[in-house]
Amino acid sequence: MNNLEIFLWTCIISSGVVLFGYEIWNFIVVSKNLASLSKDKE
Amino acid sequence: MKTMDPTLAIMAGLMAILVPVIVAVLVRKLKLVRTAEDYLVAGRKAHWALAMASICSMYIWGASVMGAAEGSVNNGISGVWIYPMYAAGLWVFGIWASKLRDIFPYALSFTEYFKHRFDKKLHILIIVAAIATSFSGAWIQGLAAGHVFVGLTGEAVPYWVGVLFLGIAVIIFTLTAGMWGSLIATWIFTLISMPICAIVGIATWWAIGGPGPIVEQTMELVESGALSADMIDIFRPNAMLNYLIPVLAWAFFSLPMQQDYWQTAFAVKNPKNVGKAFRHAGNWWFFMPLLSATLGFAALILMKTGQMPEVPGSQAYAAIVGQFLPSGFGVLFIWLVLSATVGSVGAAMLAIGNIIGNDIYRTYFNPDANGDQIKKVVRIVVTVVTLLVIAVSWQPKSILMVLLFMPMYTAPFVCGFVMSQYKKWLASTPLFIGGIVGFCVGTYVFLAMDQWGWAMIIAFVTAGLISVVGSTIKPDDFDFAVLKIKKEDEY
Repeated sequence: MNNLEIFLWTCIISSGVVLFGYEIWNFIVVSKNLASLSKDKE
Repeated sequence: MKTMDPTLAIMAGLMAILVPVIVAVLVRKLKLVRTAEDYLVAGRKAHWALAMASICSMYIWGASVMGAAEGSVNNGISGVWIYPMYAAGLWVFGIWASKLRDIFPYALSFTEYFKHRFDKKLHILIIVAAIATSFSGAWIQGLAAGHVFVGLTGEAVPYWVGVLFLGIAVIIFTLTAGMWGSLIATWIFTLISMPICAIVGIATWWAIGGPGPIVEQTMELVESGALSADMIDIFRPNAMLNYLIPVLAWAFFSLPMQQDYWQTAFAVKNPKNVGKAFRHAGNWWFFMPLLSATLGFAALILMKTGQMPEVPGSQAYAAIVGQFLPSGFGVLFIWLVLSATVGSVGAAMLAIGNIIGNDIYRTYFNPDANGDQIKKVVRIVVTVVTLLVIAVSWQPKSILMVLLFMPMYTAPFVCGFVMSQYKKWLASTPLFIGGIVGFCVGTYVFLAMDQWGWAMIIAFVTAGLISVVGSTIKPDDFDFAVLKIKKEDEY
């Protein structure tokens, strides 16, 4: 495996991890916040 | 490229419109919009993670995938990471946004800062530049929404259908829910776009057998002389000079003049978290074009080896995805483009409404206007401007020049704007003159010398020098405490 292949694998794997990682984290944090806003209004 | 069933395309578009409807109902049910402040800046109660996703959504354009792939087709492997460096614009803007929130805590728009910090002539000049910036951004998004249906269905669905979907979706959530609607809708759109991009990118790589075979063919092409050796140089000097510098210049010089981003910064509940929202948005967004650009490099090699038909760089992403994935993936494409366009256009419409309602109407026409009157004016403006965007986007045309020209009227004000938040001696007249001279010089370099990247930088430097030298000769002595006074009687 040469440097170019390592670079491409790094780009693909890191993109997958970060895109899905932020997605899950952000969904949980914002959903909780909106739920608490909803409770406050009740 | 395989075409998509037009009925399926229309259904996918209708599904995408459901998001703004749900958001509008949710915001109404939660009674989040009561005052003008709620409507314009979400009552400054938004969680920073919500703002972060919204910022990402505004930064996601069709170019985030198509343009990124085009960069690799034209520049080789160095294009893979150069386009994603647009994210630097968000990382740096986070610092400026934190600063403005700190010195001007009750701002509703960044143009309002010029009213209090400087004078009427500069305030009006900035308003014109800000409206032009938001409108041209919305216009190009309107065109993208139209093109996606035409491209995917082989013209079976007319161009105007996409534009109409966009307009209806934007009006639904901006009119009823204002900034809360924009934040929640763009949040959902980001949650839709990001996994779509990841799934499409990874699935396409899987379909072509991963990087191994592509690299193997790359080496054969280089050895045979069919591909220049510098196309596999990660830091290709030519690409850095001609591509990276304009990317960074565009990112640094356009964001500070866009109310779309400022209103999101003003909406964050804790001012200390504003910078964090922009930094993480930049980190998140960075990987979207990065992954898309790797596919651009794969497309370049597949075209060179005859495994894929030769297409222009701008079509490389769609072509490689279309060739190697089933046509059903087109549904994801429609959601991706509608998500990107609806969120961005909604934020832009609200930004223009905010500037006209809060800055122009309240300052120059009805200084005693109450919150309800402001909300009413902003809603009328949002409706009229959205209809205007639909009207100008109704016919497909290339407005690339409009977009490229945008930094000519934003770059000249950035230096003075940012410095004036730190230095009390920055004065209005030098900024005003510097802005106009910088615009003229930049326009000349852009149109007469055809140097787009350098035109931005020259406009920035010229205006900055005039602002600083002029202010040194006749300095201002601004009292920043004025900006911290909340006018309780306003809303």
